[in-house]
Amino acid sequence: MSPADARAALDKVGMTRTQMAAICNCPPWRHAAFGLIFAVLIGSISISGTAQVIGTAVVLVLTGLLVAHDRVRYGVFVNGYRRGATLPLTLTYVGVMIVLVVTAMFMRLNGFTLLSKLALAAIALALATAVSVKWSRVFRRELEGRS
Amino acid sequence: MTPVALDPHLHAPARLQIATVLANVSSAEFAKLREITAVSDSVLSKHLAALVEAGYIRLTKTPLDGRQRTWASFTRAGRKAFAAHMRALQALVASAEQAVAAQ
Repeated sequence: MSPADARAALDKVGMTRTQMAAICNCPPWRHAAFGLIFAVLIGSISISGTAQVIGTAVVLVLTGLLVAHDRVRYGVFVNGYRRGATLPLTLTYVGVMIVLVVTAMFMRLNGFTLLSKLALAAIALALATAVSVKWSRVFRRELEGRS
Repeated sequence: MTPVALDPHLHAPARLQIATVLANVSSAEFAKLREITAVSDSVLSKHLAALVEAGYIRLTKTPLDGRQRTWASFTRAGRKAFAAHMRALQALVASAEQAVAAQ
């Protein structure tokens, strides 16, 4: 292979990655749906043991629906824990979610008001939605070679 | 410097495109790979079969939307081979640029 052919091959790789970045552009509702899953999880944990069981079942169903949607809509499946520029963000988010789960348990065991528990769920919704938007941007930037 | 070798299994442009996709996602569906590579079903099937034969990818059938769909994903060997092939391409381009700069 000549250097010119190698350059052409690398250009093709770059074009393919740019093509993928365009494909993997999620609509706003997709990010909100991701946020909703975590709001249900955190909210249900903070309310009661029964609510947690129901909430977990709802979360599993919603996650399954979201994964099925992604597979049909995008034709690819991307693991959130993939190596690359997105990994630090994923791990930070997991850490934040652990803090939220512990806070939800604390609220449940110490009889906090329903309003404060809903506020915690709203925080989870906002955080998870924001992380989904950021994750998607970092992923597409990495594909476009701008990370 | 360690000599770098191009991988003949990844030499074809369509296979390089397939590998590029699979290096960035966990799995990709047949129709999406066809869209990206812009080749016919039969040509894509041949490329996928060659990559399976080389041990670089695995294919799985999954029911989706009432139909059986084929999904491709990299094996560990495939991921390594693609990374090595990319290094070889980059080394080739870099050596040519160095030669031009030296003249």
